[in-house]
Amino acid sequence: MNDDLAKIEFIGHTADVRMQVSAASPEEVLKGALRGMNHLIKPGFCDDSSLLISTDLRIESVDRSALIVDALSEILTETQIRKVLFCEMEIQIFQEIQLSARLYGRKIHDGFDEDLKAVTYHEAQLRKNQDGDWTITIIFDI
Amino acid sequence: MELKKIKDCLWEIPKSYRKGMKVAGHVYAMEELLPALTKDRSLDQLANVAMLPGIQMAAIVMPDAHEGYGFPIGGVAATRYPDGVISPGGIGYDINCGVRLLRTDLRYREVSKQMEALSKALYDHIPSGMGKGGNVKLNMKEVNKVLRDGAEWAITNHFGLPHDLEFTESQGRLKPADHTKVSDQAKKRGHDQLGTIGSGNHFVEVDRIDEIYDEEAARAFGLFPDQIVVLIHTGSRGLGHQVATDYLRLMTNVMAQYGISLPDRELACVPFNSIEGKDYFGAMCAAANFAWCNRQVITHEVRRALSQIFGRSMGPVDVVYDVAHNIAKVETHTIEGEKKKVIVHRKGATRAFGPGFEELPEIYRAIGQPVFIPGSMGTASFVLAGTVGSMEASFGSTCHGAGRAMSRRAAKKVVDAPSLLNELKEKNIHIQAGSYRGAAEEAPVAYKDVDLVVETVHKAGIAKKVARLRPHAVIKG
Repeated sequence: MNDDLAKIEFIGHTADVRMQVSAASPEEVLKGALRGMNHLIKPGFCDDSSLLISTDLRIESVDRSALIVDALSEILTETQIRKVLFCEMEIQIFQEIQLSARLYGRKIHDGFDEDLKAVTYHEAQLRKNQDGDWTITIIFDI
Repeated sequence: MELKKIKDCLWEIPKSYRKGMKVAGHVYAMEELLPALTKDRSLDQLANVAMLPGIQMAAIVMPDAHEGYGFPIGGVAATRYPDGVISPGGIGYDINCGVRLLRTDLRYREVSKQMEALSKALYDHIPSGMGKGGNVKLNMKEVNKVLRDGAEWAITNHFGLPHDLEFTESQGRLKPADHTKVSDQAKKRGHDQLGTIGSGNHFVEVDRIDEIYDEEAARAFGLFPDQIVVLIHTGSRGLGHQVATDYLRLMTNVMAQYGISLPDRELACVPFNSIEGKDYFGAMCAAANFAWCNRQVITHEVRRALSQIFGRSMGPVDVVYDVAHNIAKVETHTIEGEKKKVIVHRKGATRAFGPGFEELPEIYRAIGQPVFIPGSMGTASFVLAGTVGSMEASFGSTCHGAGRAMSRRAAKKVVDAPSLLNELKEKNIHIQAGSYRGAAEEAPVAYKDVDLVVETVHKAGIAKKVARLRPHAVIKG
């Protein structure tokens, strides 16, 4: 699954889902990771542009790798509780240990296609790859 | 990685394998299972677990182990009490995922033609699938009661019989549970999920007993050939997932304050007797209670479905036992000849206490604790019993299932779900699955040979075979 701004690959894992996201900047990696997570939960759902629900996200973590995992975890929690898929993210601040963003989404009425239990820290290390892009691997517990 | 053979079915990763390992790694496997264990990161992850502060004797994996995230699935780690660490990753996101077995007086030969109808009735009674709630909706006050009282809440609210509790590990309630340490988000995730199995490898399965290996143990457990029994496999649902997420994040932030540094953040941990350690243990016990209550509510629905198909005269549906395979408990074990209190983490490993354990119902005490090993839909499942050997070698633990051998994506590529379901139906195995995709992911080909897994623990002496079950109706999310 690729788009204009990020390369999103799903790689083999014995029981869970391993996703690798690469993009030109850490911000685009985070946005790409969100698109990848949403694709797992409900493929195609975010193709519809009518995003009627918004919410703010503010997170502090030990570093940017943890910030990406923690942001996805928070969003997943909101998705699970409110049955809303947050398709777009407007980032206001994305520093070493701090993230502030606004999320836009819409309600899912017919259940998820994949029930993600959690976003894990395992293998999640934001780094620059050989092509000069930023990349991170995220493993989802399913 | 070179494994050193200690004895039949037991291999060692020496402590010298990786700098920072505090104990050796012990791997339970017949030689036929080693290729599957060495092809993914299971053993690499086991070596990381051996670095946990305060770990005792050995980091252990069972023959059904596979790669996880941090801890391998199928892992056991015991840490020193009270200053050794507790690690949410050593329990997993699905806190108190576990298995309950129900027995009936029905014989398969008498009811074989009703298996399809039974599968549909179960599917109607027990909500499964993704992002959907169940029939029991709780307000926050009632959620707190469930977190405090566990399966007792279900009995009080007419979802079961009082004697069900006697046949549940810890009577379905861990007393250190503290609902004030569970976040509102976790409670919101779980408030409508009691009585639901969820998705993934969770299921309710109707089986027939097709072989008895140990007549004395089978008699004590109330099992006989051709008997219809029901296996329930699920856990604490979204509530437990959120508790694990919350505390892993907390521990990632604070573990450096305790001088703890580990190669993988998913192993994040703190001393058990620290404020964060106590808080997590209180929350984990509360989530475990939610899971026992969940399996109790599902038991009630199974009884209703059975009664709908076979009538009220079908006889009792009794709990054989209910046991967790994702949990941490404070237990006393003999280590190098000395009795010690330890914090036993079981992640995809089943408690398998041997004969004489006081918590067991009196009729099981001379036999050992019942253990249930689900296979995959279409293959056998097993009833085992805990042994003296498991108490000596594996902190009273054994395997928990067949163990995945193939990724879900790979399974979806190689399995044609409609054909699979038809093939199983021809064998009188009726599957009710939320989706073809879910059925393909859980196809037998995606799992190891459960016979080899069970043979390993039997030969290694960390559980003994009691009975084999064959599936006939399977409800999956």
